[in-house]
Amino acid sequence: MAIIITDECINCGACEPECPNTAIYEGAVNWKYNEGTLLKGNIKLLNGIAVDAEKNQEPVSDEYYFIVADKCTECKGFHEEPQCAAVCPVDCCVPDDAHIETEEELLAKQKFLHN
Amino acid sequence: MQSFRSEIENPIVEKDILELERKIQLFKEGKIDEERFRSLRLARGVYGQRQFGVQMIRIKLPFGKVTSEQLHRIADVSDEYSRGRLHITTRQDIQIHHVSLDRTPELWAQLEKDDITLREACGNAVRNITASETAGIDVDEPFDVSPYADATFKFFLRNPICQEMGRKFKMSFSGTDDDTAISFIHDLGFIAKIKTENGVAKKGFKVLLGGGLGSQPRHADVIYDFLEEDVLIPTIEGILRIFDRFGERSKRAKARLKFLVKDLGVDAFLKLVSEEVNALENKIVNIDTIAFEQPISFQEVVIPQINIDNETAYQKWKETNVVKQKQEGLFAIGIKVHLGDFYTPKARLLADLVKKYAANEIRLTLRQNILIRHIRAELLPLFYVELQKLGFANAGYNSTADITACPGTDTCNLGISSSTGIAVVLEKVLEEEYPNYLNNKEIAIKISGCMNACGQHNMAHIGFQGMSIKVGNLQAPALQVLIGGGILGDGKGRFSDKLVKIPTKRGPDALRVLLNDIEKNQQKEETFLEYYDRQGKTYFYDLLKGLSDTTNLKPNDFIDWGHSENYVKAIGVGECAGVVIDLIATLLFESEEKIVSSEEAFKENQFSDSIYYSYTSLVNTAKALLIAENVTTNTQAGIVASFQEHFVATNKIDIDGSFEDLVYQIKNENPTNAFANKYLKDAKSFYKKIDTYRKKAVSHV
Repeated sequence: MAIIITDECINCGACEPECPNTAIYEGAVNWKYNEGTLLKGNIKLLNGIAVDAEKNQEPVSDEYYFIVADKCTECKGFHEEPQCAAVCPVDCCVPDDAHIETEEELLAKQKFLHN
Repeated sequence: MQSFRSEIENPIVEKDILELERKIQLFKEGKIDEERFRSLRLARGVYGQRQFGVQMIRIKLPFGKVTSEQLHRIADVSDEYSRGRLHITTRQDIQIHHVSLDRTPELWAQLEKDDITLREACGNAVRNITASETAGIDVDEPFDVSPYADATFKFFLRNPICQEMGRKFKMSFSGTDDDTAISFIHDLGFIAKIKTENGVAKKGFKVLLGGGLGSQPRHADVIYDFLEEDVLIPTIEGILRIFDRFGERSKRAKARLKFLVKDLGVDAFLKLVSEEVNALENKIVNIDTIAFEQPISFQEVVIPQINIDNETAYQKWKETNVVKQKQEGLFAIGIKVHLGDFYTPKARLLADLVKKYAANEIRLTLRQNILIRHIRAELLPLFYVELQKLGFANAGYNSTADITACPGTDTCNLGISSSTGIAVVLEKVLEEEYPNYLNNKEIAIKISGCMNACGQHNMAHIGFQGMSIKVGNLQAPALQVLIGGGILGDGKGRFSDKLVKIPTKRGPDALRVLLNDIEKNQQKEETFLEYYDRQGKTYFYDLLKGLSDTTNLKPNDFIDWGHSENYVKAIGVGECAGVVIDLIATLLFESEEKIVSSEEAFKENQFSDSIYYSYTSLVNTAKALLIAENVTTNTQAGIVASFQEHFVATNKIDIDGSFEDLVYQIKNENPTNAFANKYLKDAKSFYKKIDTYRKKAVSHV
């Protein structure tokens, strides 16, 4: 599963620098697939959708820090546990029921982002 | 309520206090915007607190210097307006709580009788200037940094260039390379240095820029290995001007200088600063150190005969709490102030003691303690006995058992779990189970109630940060354990690694596990940090991981330290900075106010001040119109560029040349009478133009 930040978020920003995939952004901030990854130009995501890795994408949340599910590997391939959840002072980085993935899928995503 | 009006001698201070009183009145009548009022009161040391309807007051004490008379005054004020408790902060201020808003002008007027200010103690301004508490007495210091800290404080207080910046600005002065003022975590940190050129020894500073703690700590960059003392203030001024113009204003979490320096890069930032040189009224500012170089004077007293009951305890106290001064035959005494809290009856007795037997001065320390300076050797026994009566002679000043903690959930809106509660418990663990740490000055333990790090937990050897954890539907108070931070000296430092999150009731066990491991495995010649590095982060994570298990919590684990009821998560919004003001009418009104201030400064021949007020008026006016047309802005530089793009380039507003050229005359011209006059006229005519445009636009709606 990807991790999701709930509306209990206090916007402290502790999670942002911890993410090895640059999947975490401050609320209302545009984001890109290529930030913190090796993705370049026109790419096809693992789910088959074609995107421009260098193009600005709309923020997922305007109010709180958010995690881009396509870039979240739950820290698989980097750490033992999701780092955002480990440092969140109010425990609001939780598994995202809408994005349930197996360990293999997460590792494949990690490869896709960084190879 | 009116009585204080006639008592203030300084007209500038009087004006300030009367303005606060007037604005409180307007706020109560609903005549000024709440956010606007908040930012005004913050810049006057009046802060909100966790308890509704009362205020925390932060008393600004530059480099922690307090005389006996000032301590008496603060004690009187605390008794009259607060509850008799004085809290020393990690930035050498004193905070008092539970003050009624209505009485804050009167309180301030009382403090001013002994030259104590509240001005710019909070808010988006230059905060208290801190310095090593041993400045002026340190055997290792090249010179006393106190006069430089003092001059910096005075120069920027009420200075128009730093009244409403994007965010707060913190500066520190360290007397020696031990860097006890922690320069690497400051917006600007200074370390005293001497440089000898052609046989002449010059005073100056190593300068660090853009450091900070908080949830995203950043190590400051060295920008000068040696900056001569006479360009200290002009350098700071240039940096503040750039921070004011380019600093982020809409995203509060990204508004500190560290983010701007990170975004621009140090070189680009310094280039912008160098372009400000024309705007500076003084390219050189000589700092007068004479007031700090006077002979130390003492009252004439008969030295009483003192009997020490317990010689061992006295020797131990001398070993841990007494510091030899650079002045021959004089000593300083450290008082370990538990959690930085002390009470007015003792404060008064201390003030009297210091006046009679020392040299009438104490310094509040960065570790929330008190350092009494200038004690003659023969008076040490007397001080020991007298301080013991006050409970101020506990051994272990600045030791591991001298834990730093912010007030946390006791009074602060932002606290997540109790910091003072766990500090009390950990100090007890150390005293009862690990008494040898009373003598350990290497390892520092620091605790903050949240990620904002007022307790500096993320630069400590061992740190704890307040958190909460979810356990099913319940919330338990928690602590993040951090290890491996510290001051390395000469401007270098380390931030600690975040290791693991544990239920707060297991805090003492976490400390025991760590200390037991150190005792068992640390080698004799290793420092704590060397030992930590040798074992590595994962080793310590594994060591503590067992404590993070939440499947076996007991009912007691849901109750925070110092509480008797189940933990309830209650986190408010910070207000150390006023919120961005986006009301068109308010902005235009303020532009008018700035023009008035500019005129007043011009009449007083304060051209640089007048010019800056005109500048702020131009920017505010432009911002008002941009907001009216839904153009969002986040910096002053952005406002200037957007205004050009949306209004001038499109010919909606007709001005001679570009808006950039108009505004940026400020950095191209010298602050002369002629330019100040012209710039003021420009600001006025621009305001008039925009006001007319706006009225027309509104009447069409």
